[in-house]
Amino acid sequence: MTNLLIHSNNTSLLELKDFQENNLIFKIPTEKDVDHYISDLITEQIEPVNPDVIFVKYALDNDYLALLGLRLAHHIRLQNSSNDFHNVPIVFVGEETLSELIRLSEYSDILATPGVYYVNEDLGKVRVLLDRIIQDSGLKGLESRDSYFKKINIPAPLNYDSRHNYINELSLFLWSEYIGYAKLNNDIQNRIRHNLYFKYRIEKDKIDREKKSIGNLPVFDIQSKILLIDDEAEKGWDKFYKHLFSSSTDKIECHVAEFDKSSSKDEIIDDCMEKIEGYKPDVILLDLRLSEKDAFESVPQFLTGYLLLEKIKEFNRGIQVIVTTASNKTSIYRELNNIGADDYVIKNERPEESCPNLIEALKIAINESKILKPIHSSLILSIESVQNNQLRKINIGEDSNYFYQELKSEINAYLIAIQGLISKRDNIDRFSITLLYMHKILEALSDYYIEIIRPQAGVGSSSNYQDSFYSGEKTYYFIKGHNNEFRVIDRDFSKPINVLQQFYNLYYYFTNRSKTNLFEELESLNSYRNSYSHPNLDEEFTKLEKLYVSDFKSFRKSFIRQTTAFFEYLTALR
Amino acid sequence: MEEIVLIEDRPERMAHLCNKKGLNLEEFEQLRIFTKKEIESLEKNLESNNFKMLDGYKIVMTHQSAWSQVKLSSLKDFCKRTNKPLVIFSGNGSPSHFHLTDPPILTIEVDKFYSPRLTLFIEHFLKNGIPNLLLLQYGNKWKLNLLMEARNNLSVFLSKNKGIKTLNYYNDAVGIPQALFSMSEELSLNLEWYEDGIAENADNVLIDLKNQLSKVIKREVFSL
Repeated sequence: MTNLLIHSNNTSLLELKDFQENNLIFKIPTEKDVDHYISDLITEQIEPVNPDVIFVKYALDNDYLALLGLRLAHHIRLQNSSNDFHNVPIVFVGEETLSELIRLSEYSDILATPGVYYVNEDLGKVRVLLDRIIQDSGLKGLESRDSYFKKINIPAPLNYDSRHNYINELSLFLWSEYIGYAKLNNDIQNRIRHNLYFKYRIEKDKIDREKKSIGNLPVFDIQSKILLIDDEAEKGWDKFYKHLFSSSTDKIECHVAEFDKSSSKDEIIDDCMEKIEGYKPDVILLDLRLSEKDAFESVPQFLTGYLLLEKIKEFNRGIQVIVTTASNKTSIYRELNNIGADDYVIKNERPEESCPNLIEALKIAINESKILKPIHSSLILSIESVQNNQLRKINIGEDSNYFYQELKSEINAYLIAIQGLISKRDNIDRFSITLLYMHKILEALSDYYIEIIRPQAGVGSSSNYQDSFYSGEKTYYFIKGHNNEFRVIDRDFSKPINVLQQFYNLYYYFTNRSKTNLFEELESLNSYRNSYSHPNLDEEFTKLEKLYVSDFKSFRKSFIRQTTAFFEYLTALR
Repeated sequence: MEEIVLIEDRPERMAHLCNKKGLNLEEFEQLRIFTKKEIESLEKNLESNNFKMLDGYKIVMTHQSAWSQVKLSSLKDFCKRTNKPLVIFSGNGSPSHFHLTDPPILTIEVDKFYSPRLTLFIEHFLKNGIPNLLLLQYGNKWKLNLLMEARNNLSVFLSKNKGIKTLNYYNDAVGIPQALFSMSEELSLNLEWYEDGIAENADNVLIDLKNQLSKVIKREVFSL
């Protein structure tokens, strides 16, 4: 029977021969922090003895108010041991009363758990207890750790800076464990192994977590460039993501933005934007607290990540930004949504919820970026071009300016509307309406240019035509119609040409070229518009949004072709 | 004259915490704060193990993150050599601890360091010339630490010397911390007998003192 006494030469129990050989002096060296020392003491000197009972002073190492004996006892209970060491009976020794202990220490709840005893500095009483231990073959220890966990709570550090770090590091450890990555850097491994709060969080739900590992790593089947912007990247988040993507290395390329977190917020933003503009990622995993100064920032809008998000969205709204943060302030997420964050994942100690959320968010973001990045890029150029009066202006006399401004306002309004609409994942018609708006823009262009291009000759005969346009097999002509309307008719002069033919003719007029591929896509856009606006009950019509869900690759192909054709067309009319 | 040096590599955090806790460190002329520029000079000197910049100060207080492990170890050696109490504060989440070395070292959490205790500690030092690190660690509760230590030591003595009748001041170390004597009146503790020793019924006197200590501790604990 081994009864081990842990003390700081502050107990009378050393008088008893039971403890003269079985005792350990608790003294924290100046180079170790408290938890590191306790952890090493348990692993190197207490557990190997495999004591039947541990006697420990409430007060250790001359620090009476710290009541380190209670902390040591929690460490014992949380020791990750292969046998039942952590269930060992613990006898606290000291004059401290229960009410004092409760009042002075946030770790006193261990006194309410099974397997814990207390005794005063009284050799007579301790002798009686030791005899009882021998007669009864020991004291009863903890039967299961559940009964310990039910009664205790190890509080997280109050200090905001370390709280943020704690959650970040704890999440990194648990998420890595969940996806089967076990090579975290030494600093984190040490903290996780030694720090009482980490031990508590890790051991508490360990059994449940072991049942819930990810199984197979996710497979991403679309080519994508991902950028990680996180001041804690080198602590292990970079390797976490590398491992997460390791089953898709042929598809996913993941880079890390490098910056100095002690720099100013502006410098960090500039460094990250330089990387974004050069690398042109599809998806960005963005932490909100990137600068050391963010630790004291109480206004979410002034966090570096938040300010950077605004810049990213100014550069290209189609780059998908998934915010990953250890903050749990819901107000931040509302704000983020307002400025265009596409998704967020909270770093927490529940990887079985967070990791599937993260993987789902990544898959959606990769899909979205493939659609939205090229569209937003073209949208920005088109809006600039329209706003800078780069559409070709036709001189029709004193009203020229008025009509041109009308055209410009109309097209600008539609483009801005598309820009706002197309990223709104909760709008169930966003892709359909985008194409309808694009069609509206084509119609506006036709209306403007065709009505104001005036033939010189009269009406009604072949001699009246002034300009001709060739498309495919046909030649079309502008002709002045009744009431001074100017229409386009085909060669037999019998009927006005349809809107599609107008598109062809305009393009030919502006570029002197006929481009079959482009026209095919415009026809397809036009026919989608007609089917959407005038559904034919006899024919099955698949809305784009349905196709997006059921067959993303077909959707992407068709949608990108049509929108690309639209932008090419718009660019040609300059 | 500057007597205390505070080495802080994250002045923004210091400003933030001081502002939050209502601290005005600038009011202390005797406190010198080293930030990035001075730390750079200090680091250059340290390459040749030169601590001259710290020579004139009686107390050194430093943010742990300002130093590599090796340099922090050199700083500890320097403070030991020159008998300067050292305070190391950090945000690594480990609890504060007072190392009873000579001179003492206190490792303390950063949010506890930048608190009204710092003002108390500096004022106490400037008034009495004593660097009471317990005051920095526990603020106004620091006396409670001494009281609990006294009660423990007394209990240990009584446990080892059950039924003791006479007590000799020179031979029998009861273990009451010296600092408690100057506060005995303030704490309503009867310690008059101590230097004279006790001629009879020492156990009863000591048990009575232990009870007195327990009452004072209870009062102090519940006034927190």
